[in-house]
Amino acid sequence: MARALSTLTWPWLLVLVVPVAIGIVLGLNGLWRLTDWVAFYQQPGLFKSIGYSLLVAIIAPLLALYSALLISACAQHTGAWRRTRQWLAPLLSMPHVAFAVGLLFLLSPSGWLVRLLQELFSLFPQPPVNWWPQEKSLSLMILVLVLKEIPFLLFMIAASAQQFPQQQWQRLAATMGYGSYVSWWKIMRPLLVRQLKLPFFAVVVYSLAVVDIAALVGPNTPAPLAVEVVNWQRSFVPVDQSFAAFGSFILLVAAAFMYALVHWHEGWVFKGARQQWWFMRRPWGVLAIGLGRLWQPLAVVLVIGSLAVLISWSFSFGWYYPALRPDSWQVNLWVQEWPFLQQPLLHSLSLALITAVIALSLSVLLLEHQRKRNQQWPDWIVLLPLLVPQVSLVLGWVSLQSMLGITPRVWSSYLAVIIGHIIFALPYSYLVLASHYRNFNQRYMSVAATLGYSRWQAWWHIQWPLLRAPLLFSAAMAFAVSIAQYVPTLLLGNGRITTLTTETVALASGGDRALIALYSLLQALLPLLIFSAVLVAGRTRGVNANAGN
Amino acid sequence: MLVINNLTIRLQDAEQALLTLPEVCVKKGEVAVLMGASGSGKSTALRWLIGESQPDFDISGQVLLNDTDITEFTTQDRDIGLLFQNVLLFPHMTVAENLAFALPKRLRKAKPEEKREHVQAMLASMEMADFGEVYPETLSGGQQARIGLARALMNEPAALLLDEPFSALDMALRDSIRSWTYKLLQEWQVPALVVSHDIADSESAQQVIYV
Amino acid sequence: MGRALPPLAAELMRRCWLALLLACVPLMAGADSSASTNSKAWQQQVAAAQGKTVYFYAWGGSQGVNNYLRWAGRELRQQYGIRLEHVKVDDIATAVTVVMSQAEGAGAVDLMWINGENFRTLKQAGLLRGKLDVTIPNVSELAFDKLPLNSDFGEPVEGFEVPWGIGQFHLLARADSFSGEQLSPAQLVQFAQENPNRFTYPAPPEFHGTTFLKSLLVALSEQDSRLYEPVTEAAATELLPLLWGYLDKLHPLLWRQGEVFAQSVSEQQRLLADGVLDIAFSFNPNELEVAAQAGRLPANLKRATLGAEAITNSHYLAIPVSAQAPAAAEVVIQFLVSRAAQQQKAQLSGWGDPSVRRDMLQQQQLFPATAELHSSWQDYLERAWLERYQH
Repeated sequence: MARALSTLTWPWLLVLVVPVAIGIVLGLNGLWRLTDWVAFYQQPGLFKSIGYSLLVAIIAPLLALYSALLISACAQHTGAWRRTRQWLAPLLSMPHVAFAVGLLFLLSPSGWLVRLLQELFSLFPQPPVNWWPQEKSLSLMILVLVLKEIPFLLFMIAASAQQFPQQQWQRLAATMGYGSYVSWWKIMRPLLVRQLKLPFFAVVVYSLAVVDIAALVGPNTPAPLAVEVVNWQRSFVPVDQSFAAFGSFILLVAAAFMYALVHWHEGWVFKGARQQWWFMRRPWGVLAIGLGRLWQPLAVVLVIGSLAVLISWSFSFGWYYPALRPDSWQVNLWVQEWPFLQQPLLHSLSLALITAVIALSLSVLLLEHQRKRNQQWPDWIVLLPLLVPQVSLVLGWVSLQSMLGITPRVWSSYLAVIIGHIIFALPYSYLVLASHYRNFNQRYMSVAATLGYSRWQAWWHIQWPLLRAPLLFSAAMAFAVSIAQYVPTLLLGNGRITTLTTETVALASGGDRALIALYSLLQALLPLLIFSAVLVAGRTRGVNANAGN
Repeated sequence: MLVINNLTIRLQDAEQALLTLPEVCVKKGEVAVLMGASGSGKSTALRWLIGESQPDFDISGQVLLNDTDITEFTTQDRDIGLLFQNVLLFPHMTVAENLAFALPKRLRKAKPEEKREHVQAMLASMEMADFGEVYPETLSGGQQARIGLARALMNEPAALLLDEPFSALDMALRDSIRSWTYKLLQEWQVPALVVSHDIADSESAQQVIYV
Repeated sequence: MGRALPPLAAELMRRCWLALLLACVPLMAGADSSASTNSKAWQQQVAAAQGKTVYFYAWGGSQGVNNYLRWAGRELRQQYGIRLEHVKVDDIATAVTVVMSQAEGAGAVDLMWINGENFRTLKQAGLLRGKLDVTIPNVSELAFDKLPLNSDFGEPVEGFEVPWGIGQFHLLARADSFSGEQLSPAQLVQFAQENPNRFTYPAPPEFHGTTFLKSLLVALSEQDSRLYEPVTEAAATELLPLLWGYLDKLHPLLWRQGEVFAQSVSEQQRLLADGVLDIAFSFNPNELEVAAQAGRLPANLKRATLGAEAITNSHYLAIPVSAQAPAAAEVVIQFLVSRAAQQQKAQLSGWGDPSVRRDMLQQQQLFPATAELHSSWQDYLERAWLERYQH
């Protein structure tokens, strides 16, 4: 670790490591109040709360990872990465909160599905008591996280699978009598699990520390630890402030513990590659393959379904169970909200665009810097902000703001929010780009150099057009991450910076579904538009999607 | 004339030199072949020759091009052309655009018509006048090799380096493209250094250096 | 403080189901004719406030509130040239935390919507601007003499905050779920037995959830006077078993057997609209009409008090000492308690929050009222509930 850090030059150290270090150190301020630990230990429900968090952080990422692996195994024949990207984009781009809201409208015991069943068969005059998924349950929270993380992992799989001579191996395995699924499972899966270790760990940490999703669809007696930490942080009783620091510390320790598990899992997968798994045998194998194939239509249905309910709700007036349609439709809400949407819309857009441009530029500079020195930095250096619970970090930065005595003004808050967004967007933008960038054939650049073009001229004429798709995709990813940021925007922005997301979450605490739907819809549409634009603009004539690799 | 003096390549911190060349001199119109097994450092030598930094190696030596010491020159200023085994035409540019991209600096600001004339003349001399508007992926291996050489020559380099230039071609095509290439290099009077492990590449060359 | 509800208005005690007409008095904004409105100092303050921006931290979960503040923003800009920025928070405690971390005159919060524990904390920490009752002319128009506005959950207001509106805890229920306009705790259990899975409450320390516990305690203990004094162990050991015995009986009959509770009152109301529950809560006496007009809740609901009387409290406006535009914030308060602004606030097509002005009390439709418990019970009840039911 120290060695890896010593290879960084100080500007990069400043950009990548220092903010995280500051966040951790200042976020844990209050840890030394030892007497409060006793009271903390006696907090009602503390252990259940920690248990919930651990359970979610173990089950959701594992389910997502293995679903993604299974889906990739089934998609391998059809899986040109461009196509993968096309249908992944809408799911990838949908903010967690909007997705959760949509899914809830769709699947909950009083959702569309149940209402449809009531309409058709009169099964449920009242919303069913025994139904899955139940609102506010661990299983619903896990479902939302799994569905939302699968696309990210699929994307990472598609990106790293290119590094291996998949088809040759497959042919080799076929000559030895292995079917294509089994050979993929035995050869590619262990390698991918190793390759995906850090992105997977980032998913684990996200699941461990997620606040908005947990508050929206998770259990609340007690809530998962991250939610409790935010509640303590919000409280102004001094002892609760200590509790927030303790909870934050426990999240960090839990993250470290999870890292050990992820590491152990990797080793176990490597050792276990030779075993026959029960689900590779018939009939389970067939079932698993069927499920894997089901994913794509399922994803499309879920995305379109959630968008459809969001649109319907935003135009509805008076919509009560068991009605399939609202009492009446109205455009009033849109008309009434439109003037007030403009500022948050403008903030969201400008923040996301600036974040996207800067995160992309930093990613390119980072990768160029490594290329020039012929180094490959371990990914954790760049991923650092994702490997630490977000709440802990942001709390630290907020206390830095007040320690520096910064008077909150609009511009300084805006600046703070941008910095926060960039810190959390950069790792995603970098992850999406890195493998494509590293696989780019540098000899193109050598040729251009011998023709007399400077590095940046050659970059502009050759590398940019050839890598346009992944470069734009990386920017779109940063854009989507920025749109979805809640905790950093709220706390670093001092309330000066309202975005669609802060408005959505504030409204989600209220009961006005039509309004929640309207804001969630807009929150979901922005990244969707950007991703669609990127898919169109990412095409370069004469280049197939894999060019440059 | 391309002259290499006292080239020594070491892996960083290693005692033993990976490759040493006391003196190599390639005259105008000459083809010299640098023969060696893989791992013998010849690719490293080639990258050093075009002036790419290679942090993993300690390299000492001197390069002279037409009596100018270019050892400290940047890649851009060296005036040395480069051709790789898989040609690496830029896939997002048409054949004509590839060639136009390689025009020597003095012509890059010229009028479009003038540039087009130069490109067309080059295409004609390669007997590929009709292929200007085509994207490289539609060309055959032999056609790509020809356009690759055309692009290298277009830049009017003072010397040309060829890295395993024929190994990616079909056996049937290899000999004919090789003799065509060597002949063309002679016509253009460009000193050429070919790096190869294929003994056939050295047969018709004027000079062979084993490393 | 005794069991006394002395200042609690005659108006309120008079079984105020008397529905009175709204809005027959046409009004002009800013027409308040208090002497000090014309004072030179105040006029200078109003002039100086022109062009200032006031950041108002207030709960953003209700469209009625948000739309009202948008209206207020427009009026303030026209009348005073002040920009009002509503910073929507999902819990005002967030703003309290912010205020506590920021230095004088360099804070993010200019104005906040506050009461109870939040107020007491900031006041006792010396973080609130005082003498608001002296500086702001319209404060003299407020019904301090008729409503219990001088004490906020037992904490004397003393000019550190200005009353803004009134809350009364009550139930919204499907019209056919029970009869009558009152529901005793025993009737509630009976309802739950007949309709299992159809009732839940927001989990304390959510405000409405805690108030539900308080209402039960008041009814079960038959308004024991110790509830209105600082909590003592003796009082708690004697009174709380009543509550726990009751809840132990109730919980298995709740929605999802009490394994999960509503996160907030908004969620509880949404579950009511979704047909999952038959009963939800509200603190806004006009919620029934307001929600029906907004299409949020079905029209076939009725309202009722839990026990004989509704727990009643007020909510306030306060200015932190760290405010960057405190003088302009005072002008905003002046406007928000003006007759026009209070009238607009009470509109059933908007927020529907009852007025605190003396000259508007006649128009209000309120429940029979009972006072808040002493504020120390709040925290005690919340912690005890969590210890008992969340583990």
